[in-house]
Amino acid sequence: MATTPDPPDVGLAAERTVLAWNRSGLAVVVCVAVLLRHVWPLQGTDHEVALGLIGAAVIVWSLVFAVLMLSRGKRGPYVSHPENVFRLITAGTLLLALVGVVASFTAP
Amino acid sequence: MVAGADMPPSGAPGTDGIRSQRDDEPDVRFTYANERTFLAWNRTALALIATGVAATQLLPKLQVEWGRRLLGLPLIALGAVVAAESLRQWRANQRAMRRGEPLPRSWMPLVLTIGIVAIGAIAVAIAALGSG
Repeated sequence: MATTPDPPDVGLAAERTVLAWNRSGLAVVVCVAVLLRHVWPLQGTDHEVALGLIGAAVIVWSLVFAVLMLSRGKRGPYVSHPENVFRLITAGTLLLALVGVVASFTAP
Repeated sequence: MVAGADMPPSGAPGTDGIRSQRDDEPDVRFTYANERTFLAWNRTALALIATGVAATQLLPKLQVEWGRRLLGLPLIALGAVVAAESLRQWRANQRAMRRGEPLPRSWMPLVLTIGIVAIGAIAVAIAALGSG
């Protein structure tokens, strides 16, 4: 049975989506950094630690992102991420909101 | 080469402009667009939450008691609403595209606008009370 070839990626939709995922990762990093600012206000001598944390965050994000993209590739180009991925992201965002509310009541 | 020249035209046999020719999954471009829209709303939610946290944590103490919380907590709440709603909207869009139905109307832009205007009004009130 002949199969229809995949259509070309008109408009580079896949590339724009990958960039959107990356921007979302950066937004999470910024949000966590703002929250951490309350828990652990970094002082002038802690630059190395801060840089180390940023580096570790980049590595973790890259690994998660690679796993996500590889899993999509295995399932074929026409399949969206499973719904659980979107649920997990929403739950993580709601968790950040909850931590933010708690932090606002424990502010010095 | 004209963009989209190799794509099956919308309304061509076997397609309805939304579904792909392969199976029940919608055209990959629509799936990607829905995914990007979800991510954009999620980033908006994160920005609202981060701004709310920054308002409660980083602003100097205001003259109005609870002023920082009055400003920050609605921002965080609005962020949580946007995050939860973005998942519901993504799911509804995906379902509509699979069934070839029109996309459901989104109330999120209206809710976001009203929320931001309300928070702006709170900020103005806090500033007015603080200077009075």
